Amino acid sequence: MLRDIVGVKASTLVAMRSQFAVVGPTLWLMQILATSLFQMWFFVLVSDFAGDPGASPGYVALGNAVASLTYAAIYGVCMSSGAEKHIGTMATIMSTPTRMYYVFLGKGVYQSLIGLFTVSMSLLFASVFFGVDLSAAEPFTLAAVLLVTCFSMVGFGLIIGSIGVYLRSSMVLGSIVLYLGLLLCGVNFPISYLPDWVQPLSYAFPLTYGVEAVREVAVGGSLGDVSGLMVTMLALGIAAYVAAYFLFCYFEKLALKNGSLDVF
Amino acid sequence: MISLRAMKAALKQQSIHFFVDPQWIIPSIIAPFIFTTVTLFLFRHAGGDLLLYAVLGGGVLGMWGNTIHSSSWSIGYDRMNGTLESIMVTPAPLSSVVFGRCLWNAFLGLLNALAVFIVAHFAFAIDVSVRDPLGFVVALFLTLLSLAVLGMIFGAFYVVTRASSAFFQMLEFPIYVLSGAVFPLVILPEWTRPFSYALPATWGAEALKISAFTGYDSLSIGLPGALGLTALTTIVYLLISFQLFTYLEKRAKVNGTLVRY
Amino acid sequence: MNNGNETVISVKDLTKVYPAATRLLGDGGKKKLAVDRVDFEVRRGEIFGLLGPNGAGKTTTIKMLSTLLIPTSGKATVLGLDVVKDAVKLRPRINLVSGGERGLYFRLTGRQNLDFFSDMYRVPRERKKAKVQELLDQVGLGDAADIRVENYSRGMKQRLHLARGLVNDPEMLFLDEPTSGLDPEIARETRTLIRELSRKGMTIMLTTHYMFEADELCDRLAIISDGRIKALGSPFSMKESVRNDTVIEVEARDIGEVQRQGLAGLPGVSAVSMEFLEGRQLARMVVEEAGSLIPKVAALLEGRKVISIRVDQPTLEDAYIKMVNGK
Repeated sequence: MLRDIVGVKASTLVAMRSQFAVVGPTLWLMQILATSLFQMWFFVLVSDFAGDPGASPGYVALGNAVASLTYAAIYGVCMSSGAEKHIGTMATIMSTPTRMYYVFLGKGVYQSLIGLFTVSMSLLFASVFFGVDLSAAEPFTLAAVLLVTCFSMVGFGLIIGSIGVYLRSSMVLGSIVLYLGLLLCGVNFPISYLPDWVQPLSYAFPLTYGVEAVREVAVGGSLGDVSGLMVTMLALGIAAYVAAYFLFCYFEKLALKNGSLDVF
Repeated sequence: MISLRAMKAALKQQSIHFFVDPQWIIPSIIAPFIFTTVTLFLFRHAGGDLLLYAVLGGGVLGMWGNTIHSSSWSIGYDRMNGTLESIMVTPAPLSSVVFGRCLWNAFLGLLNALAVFIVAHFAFAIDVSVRDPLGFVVALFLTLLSLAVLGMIFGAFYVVTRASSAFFQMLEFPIYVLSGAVFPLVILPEWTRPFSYALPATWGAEALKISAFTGYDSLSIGLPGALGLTALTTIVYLLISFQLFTYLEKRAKVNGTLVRY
Repeated sequence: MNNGNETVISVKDLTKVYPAATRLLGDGGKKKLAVDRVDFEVRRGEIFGLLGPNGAGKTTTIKMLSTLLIPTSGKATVLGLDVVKDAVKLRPRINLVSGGERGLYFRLTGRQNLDFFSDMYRVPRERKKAKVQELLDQVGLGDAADIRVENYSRGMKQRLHLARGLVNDPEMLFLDEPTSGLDPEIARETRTLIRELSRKGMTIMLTTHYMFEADELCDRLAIISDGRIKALGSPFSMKESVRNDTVIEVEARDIGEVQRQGLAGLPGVSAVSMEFLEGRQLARMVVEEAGSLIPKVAALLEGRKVISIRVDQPTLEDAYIKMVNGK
């Protein structure tokens, strides 16, 4: 166990270095921030032009601010695995005694930090440029909601990352999940707009609960008001971590058997 | 200097690469696809021409998304593979090779736009008939060409550094905003106008809308005007890209950055 | 094989300084002098080798000659054409093959790879198909032609590399570490292929850091170290340069850099190389005369666990060491 924890820490550092070997930390942050801001702006303009009272520019801006978490928490986690295969270090990592799962957990820790920074900046953007009023929000409650949202989203990122151990498709899946959130999770318009048969799918994404909780906190909701949402998110998150663990074991075995570790 | 043979070979090669692993189209088209769908949900209550407006805009976004991801990556791929030097040592001009690949990507962009239309038609029951089909087709092809040329410009920077990817992915969303594809340019702040006008995608989207809607002409330039400006911006970018290739190739050969990944 | 005296490559004062890296953020690196005022000539039909340790400037030199790098100063002509000014005219007549696994489209088949590069060289369309097949057969990939390169073994990739380098029937072929990282048998096959090409009249310039490879393949070679040419001539003449020398080889248990320097400092010693084996070291000294030196060597190593001291004939390797790190 202790060795695993040491492994998580080491892999957090490795995640930083290996990613920065390709993009550089400043560039990666710039990329995430620029993308989040412009994405928000895009949807605010669309909403402005559409004039739908159920999805006002403020509503859209706040939703997108929370959704900006996805870049690091989901995309960032599976991107690392993609990049690793790319560079061919996957086999090197695999041969270390630390299990793949913990290695990816380390990436998750690192990407969470980036994600939490991004979401804070996005909320700032939303309130400065797009008139989102956060004055009623309790800072501690808001922080707690974001932390739990990030936690469970990283769990989802790990599930997708595990597939990357075996298949090349993790980036493809990652990008689908990244953008599907904008459609399904009540980011840009209420979930009730979606066809009835799609709506249950929305509730499989932790982002859905995160966005809803932040909306409640923004209008002055207390920790008690959002506790239901947070518990659901936590449960989903924990389930994702457990599922990811078994998926990693499974795909690791499969990859070793079929020798697809460094096939990119 | 242009080599048609190299262009054709590069186009063919890119298509083989695509068919070996077609799933890679998804990361480059998923964003525009979802964006269009979200837009359609937001426009739903308004109905009518506004929906077709969103669909057309979405098509342009789709083609654009493909350009930014696939075309800018066309040299990046060689860099990753270590084949950049193998190409540079041949007499074929690198710009022709890249252009051939961008043409294929632009063609994929067309499929992408088509997918948006099909979803709009079947899932949202939007009537996608256009007023002036001939003008529309001309506008579509011109837009594709202009995007291929733009892709070439992005691609050129990979000759010097792999870090280009981060820069160009950063440009994806600003251009969605600035091209005014799914909303009129007038709702953007005044200072963004020059940026919008400098993009061929802006004029391409305008030409598509003029040819699709009766009475639409938000900038009062008419279809010939919009087509002309798409062509003009395309030619300007083409000239820039040739200059850029010459300059960046030379720089890479002075700095010795062709091999590093 | 020297079948003429026509000069194919002429290099005069060739220098390459890599500029300091420029970055968006953060500091750049330092300037690096990679090739320092190099002169040599290569004649038609010969196999010319650039021999030297890693980082000596071999690859930089070969890339400048194959138009992939622009020299900082000096002049180089290949087939009478300036490598910078006439690069466009030169490229159809030369080709470059780099060692290692990279440099091929691994998602394409061997045939598709060659097809693509034939188009890049404008191989006449009517001849292309036959030419590609011929090359595949020549390098023994006829059966694997339609398999994707990602499924090739290392040796197969290397052979495809060579085939790619031949699609335009180059008059001048540059090979950058053609056998680096290959297992001995495949490396031998590659060398056989290189010799065959040379027999057909192709001029070949290669880089290597394997002494025996240079000895076996090259008609003439240049020994390069720290960007400078230390010696130039046939492998025979290089061995000749140490013909009057003798080698003292000392095997001992705990000698290191200090002792190496001590040995190198002895009068009459022109170079010392050290090899670190498991639990023991091997020092080879190129000396003028062994008899009078042995007592001095023994005295210098007093207290060290000397296993044996013997006298040997100099090899090309000793010549190389004498030139690269001799005094």
